[in-house]
Amino acid sequence: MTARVGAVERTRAGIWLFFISEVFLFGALLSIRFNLWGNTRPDLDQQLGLLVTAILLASSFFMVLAETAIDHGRRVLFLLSTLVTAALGIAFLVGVVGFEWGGHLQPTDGVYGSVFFAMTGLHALHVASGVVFILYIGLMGMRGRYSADEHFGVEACAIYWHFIDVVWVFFYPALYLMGSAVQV
Amino acid sequence: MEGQSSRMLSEALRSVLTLLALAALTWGELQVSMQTGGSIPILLLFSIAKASLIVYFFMHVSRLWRTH
Repeated sequence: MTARVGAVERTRAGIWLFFISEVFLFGALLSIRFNLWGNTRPDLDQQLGLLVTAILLASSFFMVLAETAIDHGRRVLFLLSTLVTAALGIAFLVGVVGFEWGGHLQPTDGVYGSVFFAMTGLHALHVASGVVFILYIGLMGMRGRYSADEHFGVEACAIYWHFIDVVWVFFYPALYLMGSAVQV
Repeated sequence: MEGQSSRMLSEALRSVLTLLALAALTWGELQVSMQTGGSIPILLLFSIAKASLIVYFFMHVSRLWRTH
């Protein structure tokens, strides 16, 4: 039992180290944004930006609920919460990739287009992989893989999902709110 | 069993309060953006506050140094 707890603690530390490496990746994109856009930003759909942000924050809440539920052995609540989280993740992707990418800003629109699509594209890739991860733990949960005592897979998935949320917490103002809007 | 249910409820309530704080901060940064013309330092402070809430209350970063 002690050996298993030690293994979980080491794996948990490894996951956080992975996040630190991801911080460098997303931090580089943010520094590119500040270097190339300065105190300006492209004129984007503010309502859509706020909506997708609200969706992602709400999805993080349901992910916490899923983790809390399995921690207390509430399997049905766990499954429902994972499904809602995955659905909200898909809704976020539809909002960004389906609607925002179909707007007036194109990848070929100079520094505004290239930086916007690089930032949202890499983030959307992480959201898509997070949705796959969530659906996987939901499937494993249905097969009885997790219990109140053993659910590290759920914890790993949850912190990955929250990390994606943290990245968007910085990307949303950088793309939609900081600086003065310019017509591209 | 009853104690476990009340512990789960208090954990869920803490998550609801965190979500409400995140919503308030998001609304706040939108207002700040409109009134200051998108002040980068102030908006960065909002982002750091929101990220701290998520890292502490949702990601449970304290598990890293708490021993079982």
